[in-house]
Amino acid sequence: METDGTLLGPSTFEECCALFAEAWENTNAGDGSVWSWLTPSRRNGEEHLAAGFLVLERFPIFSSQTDGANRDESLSWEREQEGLLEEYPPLSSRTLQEDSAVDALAASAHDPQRSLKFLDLHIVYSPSYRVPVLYLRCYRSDGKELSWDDFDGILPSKQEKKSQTLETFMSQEEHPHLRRPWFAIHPCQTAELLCLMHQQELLSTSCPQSSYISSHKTAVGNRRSTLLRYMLGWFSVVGAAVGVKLPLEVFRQI
Amino acid sequence: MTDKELRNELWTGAIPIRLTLVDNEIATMSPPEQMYVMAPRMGYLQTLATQAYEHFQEFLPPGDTRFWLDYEGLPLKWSIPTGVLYDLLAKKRDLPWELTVHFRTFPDEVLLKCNDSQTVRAHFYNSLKEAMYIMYGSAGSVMQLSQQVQTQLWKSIEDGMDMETYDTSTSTLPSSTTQPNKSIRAVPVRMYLMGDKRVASDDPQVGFASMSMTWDHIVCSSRPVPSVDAVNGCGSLGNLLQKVLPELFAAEEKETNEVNVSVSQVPSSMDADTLADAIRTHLSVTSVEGMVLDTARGTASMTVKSMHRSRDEICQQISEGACELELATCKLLLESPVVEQTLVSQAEVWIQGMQLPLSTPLEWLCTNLRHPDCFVHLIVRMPCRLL
Repeated sequence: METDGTLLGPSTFEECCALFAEAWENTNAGDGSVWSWLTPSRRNGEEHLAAGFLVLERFPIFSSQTDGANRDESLSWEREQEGLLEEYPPLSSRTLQEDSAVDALAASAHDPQRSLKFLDLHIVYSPSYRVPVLYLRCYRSDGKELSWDDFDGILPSKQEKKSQTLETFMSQEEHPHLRRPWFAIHPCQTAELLCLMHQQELLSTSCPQSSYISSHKTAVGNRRSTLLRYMLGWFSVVGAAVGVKLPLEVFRQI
Repeated sequence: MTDKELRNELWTGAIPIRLTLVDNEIATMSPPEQMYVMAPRMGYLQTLATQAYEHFQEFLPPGDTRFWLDYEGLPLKWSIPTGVLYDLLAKKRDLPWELTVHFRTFPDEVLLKCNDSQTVRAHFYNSLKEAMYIMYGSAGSVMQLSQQVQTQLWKSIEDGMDMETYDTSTSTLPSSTTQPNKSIRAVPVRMYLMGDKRVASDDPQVGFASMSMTWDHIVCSSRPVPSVDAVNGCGSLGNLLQKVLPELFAAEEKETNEVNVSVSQVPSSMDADTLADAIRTHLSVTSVEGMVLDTARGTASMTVKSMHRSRDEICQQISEGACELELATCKLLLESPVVEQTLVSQAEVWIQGMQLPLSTPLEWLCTNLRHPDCFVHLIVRMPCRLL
């Protein structure tokens, strides 16, 4: 399938990040958390990377006992692939006492204690796939970083049907800008997935596929909503894989 | 050497390595003997783990085992093929390659975790998918391989470079020679740039550790490279390097106003003089020399002199003039770069253990010199001041 319609260039990526950060802040999606754009110095040989990347630090997640309700709520990849956006329960303002916030995350049954953990999320551009990639690290409140094995207990449970293991969509990679081992969600499926999600839109507009995203002929408002829709669509899939759901409100920003 | 013979050479190429157990892991009175092994160039060092453990295990102190290697104090990244590591890091082609083996104190902050060969396999497949995506716009062909074929493919690399099994396993991928020739969108290149502090020193004892060199001094990146360039035509190795690291080339450009031009589809009625006149007029060049006209084939080649001295200006002039050329059926082709590219001294460019001419087409590199993961691994070593 042609995926040109959803592929970004490095400068469009920067634009997308700015729109995404703005939408996030406007809807208080993370209860006061804010994405910042970092521009590290680029060395020779790195001119093909984007000028910077988007950072969200200390995003709290909870793990708790699973029950039937929680399991059903965790998103499955298959349903995402059909292009349906789930109706998420809006995230209430997050405090340690709020149980409803916990609903956003499933955890393994063998961890009965509610334990507070944090995610650092980085949205980084991939020149090979021409899509954003989510890099993350997870750590406890005392700062201790979680290892690969610990992740299984934190993240949404495996797909019901295909029983995909964590390895099929996440792996440890070298962060392109920080050059240290980080965890990353594989971009290989993202590009094709995004194309499916936007296929409807591509068919309904008259823009040629190859210039869909970066076309300057569309009105400014259209361009803004197109790019934002792209980013929110992307994040709703990859964020869900690590248990970070976008509230419905944020889609009204488009 | 034919392309097929070249491919055989690549698949059988290996590097002699001598492994020494690190001092602080010797728990016995007498130290273990060093281990000698031939490691395939296109394979991964991590596959030596089992063999090395068998050789050294009785000398180790108790504890969990996590195999890793270092060269002159620099931990070796296991996701990089053996030959690439050697071409990038080794001093002046010294053999056997002296490496230190460790089974404890895995450097988690530098190296990606690697508990077993499954991790190396996963990384290999990620690279292969990335390369397929860059070449054909989809990684689906790899993801659709059955578990059995995937295992077979990986085994062909892990168990000592079995080219036949590799070819069978990859026969359904668009990159395979058994598939109808599908043109690639871009060449997957993995580039390793090293500013080598050791270059400045004549002392053979000088190593990474003594020069405080780490992986931060080496820029590793993957990128898609268009195989055809709007300005340069067929992309070459030199074009790519010029774009990424212009500092690599000698500062003074050879100034010349000569360009080689070839013309095709010349009408059979036309003679050399008429053609030369037409070109002189319509391309506004100062002279046309060395015309060779093949009336039967309808092709001609010549050297034209322009008033301009910059390559870009000459190209511009010729493209504009070609549009006005009355000989509507003639096609003009710009050949050979005006500026000769030479690398600055002490700079080296290596692919698969070879230093190739800068004019080598990228597409040829992609087809003939790629690794099993379908990437072209390109190494640039240069004096530190250039990075």
